[in-house]
Amino acid sequence: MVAKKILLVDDEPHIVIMLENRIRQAGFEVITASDGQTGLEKARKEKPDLIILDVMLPKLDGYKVCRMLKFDEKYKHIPIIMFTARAQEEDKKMGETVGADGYITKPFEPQVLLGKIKELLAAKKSGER
Amino acid sequence: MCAKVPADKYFRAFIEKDLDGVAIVDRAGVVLFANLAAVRLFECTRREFCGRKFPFPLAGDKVVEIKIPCKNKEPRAAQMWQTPIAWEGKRAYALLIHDIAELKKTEMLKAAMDERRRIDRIKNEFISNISHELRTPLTSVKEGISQVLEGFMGRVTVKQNEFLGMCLEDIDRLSRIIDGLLDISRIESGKIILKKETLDIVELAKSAIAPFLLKIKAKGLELVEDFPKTKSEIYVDRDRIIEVFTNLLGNAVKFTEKGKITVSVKNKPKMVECSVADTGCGVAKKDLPKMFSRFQQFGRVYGPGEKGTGLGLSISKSIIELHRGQIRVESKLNKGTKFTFTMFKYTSRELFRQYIVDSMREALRNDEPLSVFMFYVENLKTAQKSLDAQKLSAVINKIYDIICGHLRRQADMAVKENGSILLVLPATKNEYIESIKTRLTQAFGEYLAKEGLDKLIKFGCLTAGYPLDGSSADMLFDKIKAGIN
Repeated sequence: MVAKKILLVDDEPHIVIMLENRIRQAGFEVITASDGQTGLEKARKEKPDLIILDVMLPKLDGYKVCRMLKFDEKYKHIPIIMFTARAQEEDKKMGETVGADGYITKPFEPQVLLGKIKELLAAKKSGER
Repeated sequence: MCAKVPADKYFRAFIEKDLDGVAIVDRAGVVLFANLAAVRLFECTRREFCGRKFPFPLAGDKVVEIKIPCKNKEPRAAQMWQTPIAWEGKRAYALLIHDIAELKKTEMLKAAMDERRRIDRIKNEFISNISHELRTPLTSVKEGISQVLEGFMGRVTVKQNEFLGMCLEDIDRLSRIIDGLLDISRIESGKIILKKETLDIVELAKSAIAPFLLKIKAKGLELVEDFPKTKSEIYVDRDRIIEVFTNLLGNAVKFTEKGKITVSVKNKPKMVECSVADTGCGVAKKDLPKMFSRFQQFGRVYGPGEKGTGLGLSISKSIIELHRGQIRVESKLNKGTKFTFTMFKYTSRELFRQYIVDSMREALRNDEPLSVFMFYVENLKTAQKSLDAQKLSAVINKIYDIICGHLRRQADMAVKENGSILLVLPATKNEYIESIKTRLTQAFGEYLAKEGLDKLIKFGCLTAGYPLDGSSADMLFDKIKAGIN
């Protein structure tokens, strides 16, 4: 079975290195981007199975990236987890508004993140059938 | 004609009563006359004042600000301007002295308040930014340690495991402190808007207790629930009140090694009183006043286990006060501690009003319309004659259920008052009011007809909408109230 591909967009190098390791260990293929613009381009070019998207990103913020993908027929099926240190209600509401499928706050619980990834991938699979 | 009386005399009588100070000075600046207000301002007698040189230089054409010295007080600020006049046949000046001390005081108060608001805003923004900035590095520290601990980087020795485990615990604690700080700053800046509903407080207490049951059992403690048998409904924010119970219970369980924890709810006529009491280590009398201060921790537990943040009680107090309630603590060292909080119950009329106020605020905030309906028994007196109170209330309850069933929406609220039902529909356009009214009236009309009650009870319906009928809760409330009268 081909490993599912996950796109990780975050501008914090340490977080990217660690998260990449974590997700790879869990059996996924990982590609990364460190700003919103590159993230959007990679999402369109590489067609990942899921995107983990930081909110405060250089060039293009995470909400905008999310909205652009979710408004696009071609990409809107890709589940997006917003990944942010902003945990206030307004932020979560914003995540819902732009169509994010999940919301994980930093610092995160590894099991919660992996659980969410698996849940969204499973939902997507059953949705495709 | 009043030619016999010198014009000066009229003028004198007129200015004597002026509320502003008026002084007449000759061209050398010597005071010829001063009215009552002027001598009061200068805190002297007329005799002392007249015939002497006016204590301030003349102002020319300009309005000048002078500071009049006061005995044992700050000088009084006043504005002064002058106008040339003829006085007893000679050229003189009339000085008008306008006391602006009050104005200055208000201005200063306002400036101080603005400054305070500005500082509060900066402080809250600062805390909010700091929390965000702290969380980011905390994320990689936590994730790095977690991965090492989980063996991603090779085998972990028992000792390494133990130390890294402690690090992880404290990272979580730091993270809780950040959350708590953010919470406090949000509560203090009024950014938190309570999502109030009418709820049974006992049900909230039980939800809060559930996660503690295992811990209470493991510590061999007894849990006593002292709840009223009747429903104790109160208009509160569910999550926030559970948070208060959780904070109080957390403390009780943490600081009690033997004995019992008692959670009680008392349904009093005007208020609901809740308490959480323990038979734990207690707090010394001198420390009691500091109990609700931030970062105050007493009888800190050493050894393993979740450490407190020192913010829980402070947050709880803020939450209860946001609900316009009060919280207090009693404690005896080595005997136990009891926290009690009280919240006022709304009368159904106040509750009606509060619902409209809260919904209106949300509507304005979200820039959405709002539609309000009130169904009420038109012929309450005759209906009460033909049906007993129990039957009548059962009918209203049934109609309430029918209405709720027809709404199919989460955000709708429906409250029962004696004989009437209030319904608030957020984000509902005012042009739908009539059709919704018809639909609901038909729905319960069918029920009334089926039960043969349609002749006995007549329902009326009053409506109001934002923006249709006004843009304040009062305007909507008044429109409905006018309909009843």
